[in-house]
Amino acid sequence: MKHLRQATALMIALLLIGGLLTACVSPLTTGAQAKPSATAGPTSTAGSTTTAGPTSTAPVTQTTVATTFATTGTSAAPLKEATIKVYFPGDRPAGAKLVWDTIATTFKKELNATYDINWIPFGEYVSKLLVLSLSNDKWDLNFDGNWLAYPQMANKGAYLALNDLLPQYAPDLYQFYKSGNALKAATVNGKIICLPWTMEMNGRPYVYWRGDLYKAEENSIKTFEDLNKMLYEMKDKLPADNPAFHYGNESELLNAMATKHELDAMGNFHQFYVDMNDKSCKLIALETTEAFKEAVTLAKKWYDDGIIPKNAMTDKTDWNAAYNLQGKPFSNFSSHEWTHVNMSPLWLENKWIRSRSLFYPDKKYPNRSFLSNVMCINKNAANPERALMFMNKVQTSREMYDLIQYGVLDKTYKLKGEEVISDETLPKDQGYLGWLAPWALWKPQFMRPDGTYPEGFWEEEAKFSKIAINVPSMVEGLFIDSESIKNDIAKRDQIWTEVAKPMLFGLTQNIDAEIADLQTKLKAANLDNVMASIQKQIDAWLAAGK
Amino acid sequence: MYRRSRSVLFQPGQLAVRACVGAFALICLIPFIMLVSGSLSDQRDVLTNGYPIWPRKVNLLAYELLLRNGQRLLTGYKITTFVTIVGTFLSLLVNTMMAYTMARRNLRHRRFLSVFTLITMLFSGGLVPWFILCKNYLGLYDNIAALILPSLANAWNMYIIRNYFQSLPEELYESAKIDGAGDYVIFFRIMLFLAMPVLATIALFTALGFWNDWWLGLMLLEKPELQPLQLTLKSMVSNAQFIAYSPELQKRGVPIPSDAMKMATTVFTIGPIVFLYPFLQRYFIKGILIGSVKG
Repeated sequence: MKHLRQATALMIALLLIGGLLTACVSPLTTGAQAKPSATAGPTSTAGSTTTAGPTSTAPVTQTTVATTFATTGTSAAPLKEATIKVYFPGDRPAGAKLVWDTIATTFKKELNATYDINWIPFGEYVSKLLVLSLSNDKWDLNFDGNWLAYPQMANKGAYLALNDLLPQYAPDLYQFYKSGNALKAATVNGKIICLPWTMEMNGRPYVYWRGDLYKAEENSIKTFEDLNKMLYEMKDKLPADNPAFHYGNESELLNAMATKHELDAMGNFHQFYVDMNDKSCKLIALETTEAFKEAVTLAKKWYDDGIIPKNAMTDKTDWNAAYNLQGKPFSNFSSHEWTHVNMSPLWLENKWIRSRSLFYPDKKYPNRSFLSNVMCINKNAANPERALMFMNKVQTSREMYDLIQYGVLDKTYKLKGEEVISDETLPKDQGYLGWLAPWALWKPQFMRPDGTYPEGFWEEEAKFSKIAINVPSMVEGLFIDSESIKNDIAKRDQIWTEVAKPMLFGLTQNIDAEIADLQTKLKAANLDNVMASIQKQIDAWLAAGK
Repeated sequence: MYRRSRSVLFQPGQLAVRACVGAFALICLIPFIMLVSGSLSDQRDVLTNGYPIWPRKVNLLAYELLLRNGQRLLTGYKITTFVTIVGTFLSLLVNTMMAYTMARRNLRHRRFLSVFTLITMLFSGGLVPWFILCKNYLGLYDNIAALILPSLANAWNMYIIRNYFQSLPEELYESAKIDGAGDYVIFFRIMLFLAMPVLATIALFTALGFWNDWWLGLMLLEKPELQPLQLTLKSMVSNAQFIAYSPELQKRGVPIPSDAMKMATTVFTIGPIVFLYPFLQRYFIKGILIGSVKG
């Protein structure tokens, strides 16, 4: 009896120790948590490709990938049922189960797949994806972008090489990619590691203003001088709660200034630029440029003269809602896309006029990167071929596209002609329209007009991206392996956020001294080493003939 | 019981003290009032005039939108309530047993156990090893156990309970032994009841921890039907914060939940705790010093 009690006590002690081991938890580690940078957002323009590639894990060879059907891709033998597991950032829409079950049923013969679709909150998307990858999770597909987790995931070799599988299981998509430069952007060290989006767009700056308050011709505000003339004229005529000008993110001001100086932001890569007229692509640190000084000087002038609100840097106002509901602010930087979308009903009701002007129309500007929004296949994917077949179906089937983007007709959306609408007759508990992060699955050939985008919108966007001043990025196809310099880059980002960001919102006393101080701090953060590393990769990429 | 005379209560000094404390209490109440008021306000009013103490125009749209997803909230409530009750009970059991063991003076290797427990407070394996352990080795993924088991053992709580056990006279244990009681009987029938004050306090803190937890759900869950309540709020806030950094995402029609919607969700998630708090307040106060060194 005594021995039995001792044995029981020992077992409980061992269980407790095991429990303690499980309890060795630290909360969110700041290293793994990626905060969105000041320039985050799908506006980046550089591409990615063949320089140094992933370093930390061995690439999966094609022979280790499970195959479930005949190699023709059109399968002589029936397909075994597979579940495709997908991750998107954002929030699960209420109608997700209905929609994806319908997709599974509708395409059962061609794909024989069910779909396990998961959403991870935006703020935790990067860290959770990295954790899933490092723990060898077997998800199949995920959304990504060069503003999100793509650089880190690609650096860690988290994505499957698709060189052999893509032509075989997604032949239509492959042919489409081959007709442009998308494959080059998707290639890292000779391996195609993502499926870029197929949109053609250019995000060069426009200036928007309330045309009912200030009369000026369309495209008449082409320079900062023209802009200042309007803003200073309007400043004292506007009510206190309607700022003359607003930018919520300092990257908007930098983007406009970079346009004036024809600097390519390299996909918003940590404030490094290249001159669009320099074929050698010599790397430039933004803080050393005349463009930066001009931006800081202008921001200070706007701040001191009340052109921008004093709390612009910390303001948490939902300016998108303010724009739609109140027609504020008077003026801001915008783009071709957002100055050509449908206006909200309140604008029409109140007879507010949206006026727009192409900024610096004589200067070159890079087109949006193919890597702005991508779908990637996990290197440990359980069903990579089925995932590719699914992506091929999205490229070729309007029915599949409508289901993914809009949901089930008459349950999650209605059609008015070709236009997608939502009304009160739709079930309230099956909301699906406007679900987050569908952009990598956008197909211009299938996009329907809706409340935001009118008929023919995307054809116009594509045409705009092809005008003479809108050119491919200088570094289209370059992927920078930043694994060896990630600590220095993190320091640079931190200094930039703490020191440079306030300057770009006008919070400076002595511009020259503070810029010099910023340069000193950034130089002390191993800037030379970082630039040397990146320049080496650029030079190698150029030497390899792009 | 000592009661102050009326004359003392209305002395100027007493009145001044009561007025100051009352004013401070009202100031502390303002954020809660604004929270409820904001949830009942129109988005345009909030944009134009900021958060009101009293809504200018009562608007139930935020609650209506929230209750459209009512099933999700109800499921979240059920999951969170279950996890809180079961998790608190199990956590108390595990922590108390370990604490008692560490408090026993006649246990040969109790110092080793104490140091071992302390180490878990100072170091951890990191996020990825923890995730791999839970998912790949312990099967704690996409099930309800994933919301409970990883948080059961808490070294801090063990030390607090241990200190309390150490303050109990050793003679209690000896006299129970003399009377023929074994260790299990002594623990479950004597020591547990003597430790009620500290257990009540630890139970409260543990229950709050489980109720407020979203981290385990974020990392270890995918099924929407297992999502706890706080994860729903966390997802909303996280998405809104990320989108707020990017004007591009804002323009792309990515919906930022209106302020009223965020307030309404907060009212739903903190409601039960706020209503329970007045009844549990004295345990908080008692618990602040519990487990501290006694003279």
